[in-house]
Amino acid sequence: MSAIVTTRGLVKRYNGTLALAGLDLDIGEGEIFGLVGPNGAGKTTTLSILATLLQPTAGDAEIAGLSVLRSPDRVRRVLGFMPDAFGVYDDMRVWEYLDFFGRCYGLPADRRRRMIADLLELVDLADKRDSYVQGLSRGMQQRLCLAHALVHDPSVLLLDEPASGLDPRARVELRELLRELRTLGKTILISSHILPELEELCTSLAIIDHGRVVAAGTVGEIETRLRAGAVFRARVLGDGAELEAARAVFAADPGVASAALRDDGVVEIGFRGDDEGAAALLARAVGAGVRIASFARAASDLEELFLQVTAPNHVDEAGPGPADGGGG
Amino acid sequence: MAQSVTTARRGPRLRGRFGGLTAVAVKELRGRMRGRRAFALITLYVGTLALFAVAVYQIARTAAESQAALGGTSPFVSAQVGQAVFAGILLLETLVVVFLAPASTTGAISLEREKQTLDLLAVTPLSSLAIVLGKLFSALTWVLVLVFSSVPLTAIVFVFGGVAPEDMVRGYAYVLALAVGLGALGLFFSAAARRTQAATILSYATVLVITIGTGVGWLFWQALASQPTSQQPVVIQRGVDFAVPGKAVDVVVPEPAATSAPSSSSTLPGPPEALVWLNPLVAVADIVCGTDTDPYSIACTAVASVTGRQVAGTGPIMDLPAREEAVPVKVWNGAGGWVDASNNLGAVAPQFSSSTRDNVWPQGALAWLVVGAVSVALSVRLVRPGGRLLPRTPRRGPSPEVTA
Repeated sequence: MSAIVTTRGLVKRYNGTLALAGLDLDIGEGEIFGLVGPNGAGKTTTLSILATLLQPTAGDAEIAGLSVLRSPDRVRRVLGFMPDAFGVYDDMRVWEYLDFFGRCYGLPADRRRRMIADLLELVDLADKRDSYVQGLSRGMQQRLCLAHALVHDPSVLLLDEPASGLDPRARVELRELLRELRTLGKTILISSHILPELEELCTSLAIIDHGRVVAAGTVGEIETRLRAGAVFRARVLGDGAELEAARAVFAADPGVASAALRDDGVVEIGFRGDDEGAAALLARAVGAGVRIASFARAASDLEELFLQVTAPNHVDEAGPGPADGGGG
Repeated sequence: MAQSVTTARRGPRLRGRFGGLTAVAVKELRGRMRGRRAFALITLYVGTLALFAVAVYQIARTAAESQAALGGTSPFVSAQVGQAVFAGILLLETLVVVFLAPASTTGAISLEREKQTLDLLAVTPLSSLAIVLGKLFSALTWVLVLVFSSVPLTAIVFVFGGVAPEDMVRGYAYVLALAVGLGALGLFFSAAARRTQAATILSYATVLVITIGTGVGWLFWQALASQPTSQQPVVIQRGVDFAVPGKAVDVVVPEPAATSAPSSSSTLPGPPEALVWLNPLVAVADIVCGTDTDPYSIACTAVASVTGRQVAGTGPIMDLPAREEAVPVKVWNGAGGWVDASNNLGAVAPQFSSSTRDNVWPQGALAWLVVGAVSVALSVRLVRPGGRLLPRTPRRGPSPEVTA
């Protein structure tokens, strides 16, 4: 898989503040690549540089072999961009909105007509064709904005926080839409500060913090690299004694670092090992007669790891240090 | 084969350039002209202008009739009414442009910034020039629709006479140039200022300086430059008595400011004409004066004092051969009684025919077009995010700290 988007030593300084401190990224063709990091990590700056909206202080980035510094005009033709915060024009109908951007890319009238019909179908806004843009819900506007980024059939899509401000249902719809776009052969770069949002969707991830890549690779690779231990949660049936016995069974396993019983009958297991080990652990527990209603890797474990990875850099912002003695 | 390659290369590029411009213009115009609002505004505007024209007509007619009643210039009454209506409409239209043209563009870029739509535009292959010109074009189209919707109304003056079609063309040509310049100026402030509010304030402050400021500044300068002298130099100019065709009369006029500089005791030279080139009122006065029969009308006097040349309209004043013999002329000097001004005769040759028309307004129109071009050029530099007026100076600072 060849890289279609690469950045080399991207540095961006705003009036002395270092937003990017030498960012290197390689994004393979056809991937859905997630850029994760806390607020202020440099996600939007990175995407703005890739979208030719910002010039890096140092370094360069290439999209489809075109430098964003040397040939921004040609880069603009191969990428579609959906900014984090975007507005919509007043006094404009949905089809006019897409027609306008089609004209911006110099598409002839017949191709624009077809493109508008296709895209509205794709983002499920066909029945809103003649509605005013400002009258659409936030989720619909988001989908329309995504459609606008597709008018010229770009090979690379840059989406800055596409799911922010969406309700859960709209998020699911967006995710489905992105999967569909991937099957159309688009490379998609998504940023988010919420890891689980990307975890299920992305093929690869880069966690960035303070303008630097902290970890990058496929979702699985990152998990194994970051994970000192996974957290499993097992909901066990039975009364107090049975629960305590179950906890003891888990705790006895050599791969388990800790096993704690919560009030709601869930055993939290700190587990060092791979998926094979987890399967073996479950088999042993079932074999020992523990009645397990559910056994799952804690959904937010990567999130917790993510927080661990990015946390040390935030110590200085975390409030009064130990030297203050505290009060209370 | 080779030909098809070149056309294939050139076609999209050309289309991209003009298509981009039309993309922005079409989008803007769709928004502006949608619904009843635009048409209601045009109706209101033309209606107001019509009422105004009727008012000017009534006033001019009353004045002309009373003049005619004194046995004055009855053959010219109709022409005078036409000229007054023309002057009134042209003045009002100029004011409309002065107020509307900047307002139509002060939000062009800054509103996109405020509504966060500028980034969407900036990542398209649209050139900055296409964005700026598309915005300007659509904004001006709207203003010019208003202005040109008044053409039929202005044409009423032809019923009265006294105004040539060329005068009307002059008037609309100037208003067009003024609209381009002011619109581009508003666009520049819109691109330079972060907020529309700031852009609006800056635009109108500039318009105020250009319209009222330059006029007041000119008057102030002139007051400083022309120190009172004991004897105001005068010249004798020849004209024709309206009432008695063919009879020549001598007219005593103060010597124009520019030519009086040597005899004046002041050290400061008179204000340069260029100071008021951008002043729309002076240009309108010039165009109106072009139709005037009376070289001492308000409009012509203003133009004469600005240019330092005597001007006259198209009226029955005509060029006469300069007199050979000296004629004794007594002139009231304002303080010391009558003085003999005969020796001033011929100091300045009458210049009626040399400068009847187009004294200031062509320069004014050209100046506005230059302002427009400069504003567009500066706006182009500012329209994309991170744009700056001056080219970025390569700073040789310490290399960014890239630590592992």
